[in-house]
Amino acid sequence: MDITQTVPLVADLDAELMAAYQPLARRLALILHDTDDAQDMAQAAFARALERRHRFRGGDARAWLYTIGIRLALNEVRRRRRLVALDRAPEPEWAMASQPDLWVALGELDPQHRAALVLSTLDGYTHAEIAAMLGVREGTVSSWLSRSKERLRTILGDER
Amino acid sequence: MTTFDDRLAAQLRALDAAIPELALPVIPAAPSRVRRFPVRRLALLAAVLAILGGATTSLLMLHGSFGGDAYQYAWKHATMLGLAKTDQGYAVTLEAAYADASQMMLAVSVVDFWNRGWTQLDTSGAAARFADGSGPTWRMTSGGSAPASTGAANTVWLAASAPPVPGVHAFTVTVPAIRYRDPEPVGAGDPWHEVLGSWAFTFDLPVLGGRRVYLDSATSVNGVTATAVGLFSTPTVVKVDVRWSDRGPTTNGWSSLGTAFHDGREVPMGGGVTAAAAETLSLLAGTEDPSGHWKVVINEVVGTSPDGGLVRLGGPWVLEFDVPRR
Repeated sequence: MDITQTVPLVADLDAELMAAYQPLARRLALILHDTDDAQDMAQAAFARALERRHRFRGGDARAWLYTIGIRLALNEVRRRRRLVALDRAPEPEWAMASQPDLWVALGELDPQHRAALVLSTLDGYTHAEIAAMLGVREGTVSSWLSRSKERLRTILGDER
Repeated sequence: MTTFDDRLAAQLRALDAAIPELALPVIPAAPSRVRRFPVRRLALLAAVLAILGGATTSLLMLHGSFGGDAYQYAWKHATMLGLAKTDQGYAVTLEAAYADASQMMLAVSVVDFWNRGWTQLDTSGAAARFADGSGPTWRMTSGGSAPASTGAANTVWLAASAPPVPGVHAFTVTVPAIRYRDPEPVGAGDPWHEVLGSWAFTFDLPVLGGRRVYLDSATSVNGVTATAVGLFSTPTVVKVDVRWSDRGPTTNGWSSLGTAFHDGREVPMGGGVTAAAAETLSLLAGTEDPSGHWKVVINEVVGTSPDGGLVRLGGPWVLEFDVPRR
């Protein structure tokens, strides 16, 4: 018998998910480049996770919630691109007051590339873990990260 | 020596730290935790639920997942409708609607009675007209859909092609298709599918008025002149029309960064509709009374140059003007 299939490894999944909610919303703010959309997607991911808590097999609850939230968010980005050209999102004051160059430069990246960059840099997830979260191959994540940093290096004007 | 990766990580952490705290989630299954939500939002939500009954989860998602002054105003002044139409097993309910001279908000829930399996349902193709066919057309500009356990909730904003005459009008809202997403988020090809159908609703709805003011307030910085030529306000949005002198070539126009103040109250600036010389700045809150002193501060404008780099022109351009009382 595979004990990981029957014994919950997280004692209180709801509490774990609640603790992971703010980090998810913050990651989505950077990935979606919009705090309002980030909150909508984090909310949707949280509801989805509660609905599917029986599918959680233990382990890193935060990564599980991240997976749900980031996939929902990237799907929404693709959906909106097809539907209608929305007005350019406002540049938020908090970003302009903190790291305006980086914020604007991040906006030049593809959302999937931003996701890989954020998960790698802020959370320290490995390329393999990020690949599992985003549903792509590990080599793809490595390529995205390399291209993202090269692009940011160009935009931000840093020397090699 | 600090590497680029180190500097990038430090800057990204600083940016992350600057993100304002976001509202905690609505938890349908654990009402005690919902107390963490602001009282104002909860009271409004309770009123909505009391009026409509049923579809509790969808409505929690519908209202709880959105914020901002425009949403709050629209919900507070919305007409509760509760009109339902079922076609091909999809029950579409127009829960509530709000309209002013600039835009319309529709709150729509969708339930799949046949439970065909989906992760999201949406009604983003919704459009509105006066029932007699006259006047402007309202089409979607933005919206969001949130999945729930028994259905999905959509809050859709539609922009009027021209300002309508204020007052109570008979409207027809049509939802020409339901879109649903495959149950599993990963897979080859497009996971979204469309079901054509006929979900149409006719109802009376008051349209709140707006006010247009023509301006001529100019300022120049480093040889670039910005001129505020008009302001159009409704309770959910204020738009300021700005004309610019030549700012040089970009591939996607210019984006203005700044903020505005109305009688000293800060009004955040949202995205603009940008062209080479004309720009409509949308402010992220409306007002019932635009009279008073306005100060629009454009700190800088940013664009992408033809070679792919960023072009930034520093200001600030400060545009000040007074809107008289009626």
